[in-house]
Amino acid sequence: MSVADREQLRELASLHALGVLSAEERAELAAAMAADPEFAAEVRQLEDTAGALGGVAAQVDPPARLRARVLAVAGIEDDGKAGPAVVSMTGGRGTSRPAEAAAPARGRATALPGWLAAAAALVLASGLGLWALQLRTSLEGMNARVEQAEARVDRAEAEVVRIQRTLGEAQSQTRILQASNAVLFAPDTFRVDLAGEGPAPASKARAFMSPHSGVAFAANELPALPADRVYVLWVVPTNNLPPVNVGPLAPDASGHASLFFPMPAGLSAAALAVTVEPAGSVPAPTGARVLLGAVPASTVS
Amino acid sequence: MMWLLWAVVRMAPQKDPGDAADLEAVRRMADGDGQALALLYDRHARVTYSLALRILAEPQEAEEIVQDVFSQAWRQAARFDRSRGAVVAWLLMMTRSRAIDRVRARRAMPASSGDPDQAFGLIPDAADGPERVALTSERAARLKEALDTLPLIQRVPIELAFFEGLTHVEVSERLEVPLGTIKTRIRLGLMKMKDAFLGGAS
Repeated sequence: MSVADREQLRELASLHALGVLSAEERAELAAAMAADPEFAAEVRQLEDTAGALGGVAAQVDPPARLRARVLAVAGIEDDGKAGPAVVSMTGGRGTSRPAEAAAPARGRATALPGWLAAAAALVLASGLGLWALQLRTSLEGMNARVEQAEARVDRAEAEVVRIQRTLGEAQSQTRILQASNAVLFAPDTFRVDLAGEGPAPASKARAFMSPHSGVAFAANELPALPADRVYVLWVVPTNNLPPVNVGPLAPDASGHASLFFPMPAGLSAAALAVTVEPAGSVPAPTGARVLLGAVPASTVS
Repeated sequence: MMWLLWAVVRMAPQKDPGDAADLEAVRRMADGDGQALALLYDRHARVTYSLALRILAEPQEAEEIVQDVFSQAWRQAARFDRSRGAVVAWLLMMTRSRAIDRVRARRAMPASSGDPDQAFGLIPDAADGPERVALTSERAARLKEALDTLPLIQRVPIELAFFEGLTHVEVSERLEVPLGTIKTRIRLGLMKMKDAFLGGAS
């Protein structure tokens, strides 16, 4: 007999011992027992074990009047001389005995209220105890499911945030591309080439400027900067007005940086310049200039 | 492996003096001795009443069950087969069967499959059946401790089956656990309890 077969038969035997087998299953078990005396012996032990379960309930004395009713079956009268009961088969926790149970058995008949109280306590203890067990089991399962659900929600929320951020970045990129595209194809667009100088002689940049649609700017080969320094792009106005900060540049690892910005209102640009500045907004250029390009004279109004 | 363990802990023939007294009472009952019924009642009324009360949770109904059980014992004393178990186990089995049937009737469920009149006759013994395991207070205490320390997932199905009379299918539905899992848990739990029940008796 395989191990699986043996386990299956033991399942049948266990269910039989608890008295819940169907007739068909009982026949199957009986056949297995007939074929294997050793297994039959084990079934008997399981029967005895389950049968003894009846003795683990919390012990409560029956009311004294019950003795008379039982003895009437045999045609004898209750003489009130009850013999000793078998010592409690359980003892310990869960055992509930009425107050008068400690007194000699003959005195039990006079203590009905105490018995009732004990019976009520037993009903509560046994009924609630089993329900508590079931509830605890259900709760354990529910808690596990809630924890799993919470973990899934957390992951889903994190994913939503990540997607929103990606979407926001993509939308922003799209807007820049659309704006840059508009600049490239605007009828008033002109080109400004910027040359590297000072600490970045190899750098170069180009801007397409439209007074109405904005400026698309791209620079290449910008040297990496210390963490506390940034590149800032300036529009240098005509008429000797102070340069206007139009934003920091954030070069990637290859030294490429791009920026789109609307042309400041009412401003006539004479040149574009890039300088190295302390991190943070600066109102006027203070650091080394690394790129400079003049706006073609014919476009300056 | 389990069979080897089983062989090691296999019970010696029972020599429980309490059960011998019960057997003597049943023999006298078979001869129509009413005092023997009084003796048996005094010894086991509490344990049978406690079980009935545990299952039914109604003192009045528990009394009726105990009365029925001892009446049946009185009527059927001559038919009691000592090879099929201890007298107290017989009384408890009858008590449980009757109480469970009441509980199921109360809930409009079909009666349990066990017939209290045949509680020990459902499955015949092999020709040389083993000695039954006596139900001593020591073994009962070990059994209770084993039940108390079972994992809840094994304990609850066993208690639902034994004390509420639910079939394994009903237990599966009540706990919303697959039937196969319930069967396995009942088997594992009951095997542990059997080992505890038999343990230390050799």
